Amino acid sequence: MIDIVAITPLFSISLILALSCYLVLKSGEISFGQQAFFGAGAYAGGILTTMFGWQLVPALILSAAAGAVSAAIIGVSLCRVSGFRFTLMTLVLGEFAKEVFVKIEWRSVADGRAVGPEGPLGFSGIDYFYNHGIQHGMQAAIASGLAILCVVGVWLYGRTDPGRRLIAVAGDPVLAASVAINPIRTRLLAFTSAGAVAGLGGGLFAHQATYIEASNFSLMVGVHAVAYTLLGGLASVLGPVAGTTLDIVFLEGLRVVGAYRMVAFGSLIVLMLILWPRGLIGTRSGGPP
Amino acid sequence: MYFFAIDLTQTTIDGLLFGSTYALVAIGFTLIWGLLRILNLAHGVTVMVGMFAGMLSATIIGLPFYLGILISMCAGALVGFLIDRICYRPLRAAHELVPMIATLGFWILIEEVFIKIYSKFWFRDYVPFANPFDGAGLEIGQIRLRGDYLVTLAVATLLVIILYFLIYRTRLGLAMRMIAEDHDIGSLMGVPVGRVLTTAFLLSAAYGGAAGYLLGMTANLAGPYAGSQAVVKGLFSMILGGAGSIPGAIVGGLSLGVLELQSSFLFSFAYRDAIAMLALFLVLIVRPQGLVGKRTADRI
Repeated sequence: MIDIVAITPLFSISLILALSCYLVLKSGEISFGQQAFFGAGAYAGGILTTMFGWQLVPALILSAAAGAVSAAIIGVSLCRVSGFRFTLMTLVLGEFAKEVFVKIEWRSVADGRAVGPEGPLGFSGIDYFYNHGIQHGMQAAIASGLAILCVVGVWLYGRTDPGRRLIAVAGDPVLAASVAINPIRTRLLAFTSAGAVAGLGGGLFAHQATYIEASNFSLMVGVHAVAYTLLGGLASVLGPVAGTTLDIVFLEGLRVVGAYRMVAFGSLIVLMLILWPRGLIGTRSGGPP
Repeated sequence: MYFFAIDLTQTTIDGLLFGSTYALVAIGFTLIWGLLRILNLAHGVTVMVGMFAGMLSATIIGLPFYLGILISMCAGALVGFLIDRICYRPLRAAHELVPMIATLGFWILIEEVFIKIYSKFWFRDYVPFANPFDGAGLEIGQIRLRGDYLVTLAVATLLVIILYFLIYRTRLGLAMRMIAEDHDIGSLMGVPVGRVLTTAFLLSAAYGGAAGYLLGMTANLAGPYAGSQAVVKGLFSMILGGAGSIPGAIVGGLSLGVLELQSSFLFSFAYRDAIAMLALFLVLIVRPQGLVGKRTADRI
């Protein structure tokens, strides 16, 4: 059977990143660069707990802030373009961020040993969980708690004014502008929030993995997060949940197809798109999938 | 100063020669984008398959260069056919993002299957790729032109000339230009849209296959992750030059080649990709339509 304690952190982290993509997709754009903010959050969170001895909660808040700030800075120019130019720019962004992560080198001594990111050698020894005696069960609880927090947060975002505006902008930016909705500002807010969600996921990932390096934030990470969301569908926040469950729980956790998980995942995407182009939980009406 | 100028010229020329492979990859992307407005993310798979078909023919069987490149192009075209039949045909009625995601799935699927097969036969990250032009070269004054780079440029030029001939001098090209304007009107005018698009997929994938062979030959290596790298480089070239335009793909590929080699020469090898991407990001902000692309209306 399935080892819930082992699978929960992976599931939660994947879900949080998928939720970040979901927010961007809601604005009508595909981003292949959310792993950049995920990485920014991971490095920020890891540095704060290992090098400065912060507690987990403030460090995670700062992780989210790091994701949000970097997304806001990049979003200022990014949210002015749309369609495939947006997608391509996020692709460039993701690859660029990876290059930046390789260069991060900042060492200091804490508790009598050298800590901090070591450039191409990665960032090891993020052992907050170990040092504070947080066992696997507790780790899983923290991870799932944060994932639920993000699901609720993203759900609330869609219920409130900015979320409504976002749907209007995604439907038709010109029409939205004619009823006094600023499309760029609306999308920038969504993009920044998506960055915050990704950053939070990154902070969690850094502490869960205890070792991070630039290749953890490769293009395929972002691509998977988008794929989860599109598999699940965009009709509601349950879409990313369903998509992530399908891959992590069935393919990774239950090992339905053994070592051929990624092969099955790839064919699943193609098959699903042919059978249900709008995802598991999709809308019936038109508009982007 | 004199030697610096020589080195600078040498690097620029190497960049132009090497950039021609990027241009070939970008042409494959731009053909499909221009005709269908979808990003064919599975294009990297054709590059990888072309590279391995070339590796098998050149290293294992020992076929000559020109036959190897033909085999690579055929192998690439086969993948292109699959992309058309699996990712595009069943989904052409859907929103334009849907086929793009399907190509994404196809990319993950083929790359993973390929890595499984690869690791059954080889236990390392790369396999050697025979390079018949290794060590050969042409000296002009102080400048040395590497033989394999020259061959790469020659093949790329030939393929580009063939492409221009196909597009501007044949009925197929006429049909393609029609479809690029509007699918429905093309269909009303009696253009067999489906068949022409299949040909476009075959053509773009054959160019990807050729690029795979050339990339493998110049690097002397073939690796299973070459497809993903080619996707990134090819897309970058296409954006740099301007999407949907064939001159754009060529200019973009050549400039990316020069940009990468110059930044590793002027700054450092470690910052090569970072500098290239920063330049790309700036180009996208200042000139979103690319270096030679035409300005089109954005949605916002």
